Amino acid sequence: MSLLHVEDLRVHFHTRNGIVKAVDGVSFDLEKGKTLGIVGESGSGKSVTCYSLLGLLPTPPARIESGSALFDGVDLLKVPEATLRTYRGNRIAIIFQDPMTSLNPFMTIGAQLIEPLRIHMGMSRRAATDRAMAALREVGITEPQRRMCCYPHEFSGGMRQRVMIAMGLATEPDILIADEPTTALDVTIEAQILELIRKLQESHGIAMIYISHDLGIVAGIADHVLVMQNGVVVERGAKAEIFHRPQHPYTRKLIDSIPRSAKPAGSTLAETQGGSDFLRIEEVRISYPVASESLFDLHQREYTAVDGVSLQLAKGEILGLVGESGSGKSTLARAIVRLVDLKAGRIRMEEILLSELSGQQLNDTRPEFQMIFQDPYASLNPRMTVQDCLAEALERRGRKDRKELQAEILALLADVELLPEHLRKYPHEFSGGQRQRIAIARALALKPKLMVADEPVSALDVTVQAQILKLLLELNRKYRMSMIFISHDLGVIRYIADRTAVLYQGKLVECGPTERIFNHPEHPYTQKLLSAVRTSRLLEGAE
Amino acid sequence: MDNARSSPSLWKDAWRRLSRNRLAMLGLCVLTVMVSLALLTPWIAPYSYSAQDLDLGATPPSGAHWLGTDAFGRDLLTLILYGSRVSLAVGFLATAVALTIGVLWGTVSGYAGGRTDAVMMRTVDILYALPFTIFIILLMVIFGRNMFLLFMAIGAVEWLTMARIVRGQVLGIRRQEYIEAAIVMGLPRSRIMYRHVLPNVLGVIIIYTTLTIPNVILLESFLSFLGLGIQPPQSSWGLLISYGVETMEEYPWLLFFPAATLSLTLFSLNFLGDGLRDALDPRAATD
Repeated sequence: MSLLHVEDLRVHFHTRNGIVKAVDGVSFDLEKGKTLGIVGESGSGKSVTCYSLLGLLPTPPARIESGSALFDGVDLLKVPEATLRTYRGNRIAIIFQDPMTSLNPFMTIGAQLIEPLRIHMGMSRRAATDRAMAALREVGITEPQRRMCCYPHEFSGGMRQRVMIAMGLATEPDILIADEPTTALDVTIEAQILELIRKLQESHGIAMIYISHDLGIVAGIADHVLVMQNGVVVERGAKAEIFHRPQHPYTRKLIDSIPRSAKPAGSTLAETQGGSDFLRIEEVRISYPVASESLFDLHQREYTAVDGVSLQLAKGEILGLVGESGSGKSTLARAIVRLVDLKAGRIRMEEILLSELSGQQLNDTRPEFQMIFQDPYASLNPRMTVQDCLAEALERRGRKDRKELQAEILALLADVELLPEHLRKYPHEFSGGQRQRIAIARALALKPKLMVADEPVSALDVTVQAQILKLLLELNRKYRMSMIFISHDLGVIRYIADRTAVLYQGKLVECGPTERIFNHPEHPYTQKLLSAVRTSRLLEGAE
Repeated sequence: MDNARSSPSLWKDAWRRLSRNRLAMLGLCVLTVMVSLALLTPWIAPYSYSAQDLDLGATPPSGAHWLGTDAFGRDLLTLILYGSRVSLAVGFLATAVALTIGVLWGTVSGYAGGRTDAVMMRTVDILYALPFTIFIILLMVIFGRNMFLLFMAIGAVEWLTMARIVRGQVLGIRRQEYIEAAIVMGLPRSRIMYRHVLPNVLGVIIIYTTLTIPNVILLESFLSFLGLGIQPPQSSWGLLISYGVETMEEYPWLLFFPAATLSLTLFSLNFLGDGLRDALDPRAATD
């Protein structure tokens, strides 16, 4: 007898533009003490499936068309909201993706932990406080007594997620739903959190539904895996089976898209072997002023984001820049394209001293070094069509007559594999991957010698990610463009970079050919980073 | 030519979308008719605005006087027509002054940031603190009474709020990645402000403008009361309404018709404003 039995669940969204079948006939069983993993890309219906069980979907537009979800003899889809409320957070707990937004910033951690205990379990204040402290201790938060009085902003991202887990577990639920709980976290933190979840689940015997877009993570943590696409379960099975003998083409595509292999042969430009230095970054230091703590504190404090980093880049080379949040990798990238000023050091591109340029001179040189931003939803002006956006970039290099301009725009579109009919559309009409292609085309239009890409694929689904990476490699070869590629994802770096530099707390800890770094990491931090990825994800070779 | 070339799609698409919005088009038609009537008043008005018939006095609407007459026996329709010349001119021109100064000031202040922003915004604060009535009386003492001063006085007050609102919006947009992308492209500041910042604050500007116009039309009657605006026998909607209020119980039509005219204008403005805002936001498109 399974703990939760979901049968033929159908959830449709009734929108102005017609009916969207978000979940279309999903069935599964969840056993006590087991973990069910649900994998899929954005829009596959994996979150909607779980939210509908808890009545967390906005209705309308969502409507549960059919199906049943038997839990403890009741159908969760049919019971009134009041009954559902006694289950929610009590017998079925949920951990959300973003620990920054799912905690109330105006309430202490303690108050937020105690509230559900008092409401759901009718505990006295004292008993609830003891239980909350025990839960905090269990998730590895030291000095729980003191931490209970802290507000969410006083915790780091990883610590906040621990608090969320403590909150989920404090009421001793039967089922824990984890909706991408580690997506917003660094890899080393991710490994710790996953280990924690696994341990707690074992000791409490809780059943868990783990939702993720990352097949590697799901395969690492789940006993059973559902692969979803467009609201339909396309494949289900034990984890090893799914990962090593995928049946459905979509599952195979998902697995193949995970960038984990070395750079494709022949994609390295010959010139890079020469070691001619195209870009030299010398002893760069960047710091920000920090608001002083009291009014009378006249001493200006500074936070050093990048501290004495030196790097070189050859013509046509792709340099990978890896590091966790706070490592200074984005700050360094922004300094190279002169969005941030240096405190010390120099940046030289060929004969030009980039770091010394200013005013008109700087503006005239800017087309030489372009940037691709992380979020393709934010980096395109929502009120400009693709046509206007590319025309503006092209005309940056001088006015052109209509025909010539149109021909160049079409050539750019072909480069990034978009179609001419896309020209009249606005950014919001495109998918994430297509938008990133537009952003790439815009940067290419200026014919830069150096391209700085700041996490250009981390906002994208894994299959789209693979396409964009391939495109960037092709463009790199076609235009002999040097590239600095920033990512927190080691798999991505391994796939695209010729050389890799590892940053940790603003300092360069290791730099060398990518394969050397991955196979024989020298610095302890690099080793820790690599082992974190291996333990949290089931990759090939790891059984 | 430069204008047509530099921002083609957004405006063309906006017009296409606006022309499909029935309410907005209705609003535009009503406003066009009103403005044409105001311009043609001297030729089409049934009577002269100063023609009195004291023996007739206040009469309800009739065949000779479609909207009735006021206490001096003047034709109300004529008064409303002549009044629209003053009210629409004040409404549109003073708002245009406020709009131009406010949007420029706010955009530059918000985009430049730092010390420039601080100095510009403190200037706004100081002007805000100046008592309006005293300001008006000062103007009158120095320059005497004329229509030009009326526009200046109203514009000088109304742009302050516009500048603050626009600056707030620009502050948010300045941090967007598409602005950074434009900086990295090496586009000149003026172009970034004109093409990337302004189109994205238009929605708020339009909404605030449609709120300012009626405000300004009513403000004119207050200024006229102080003696800065126009004086009888000239008329404006604001003046007609304030006289209408005084005699509401005896001659209700003297309040009803001017108020209805003003309301009709405001409705049209709001429909047009909402339509424009939606038309200029590609994401709101239903097609």
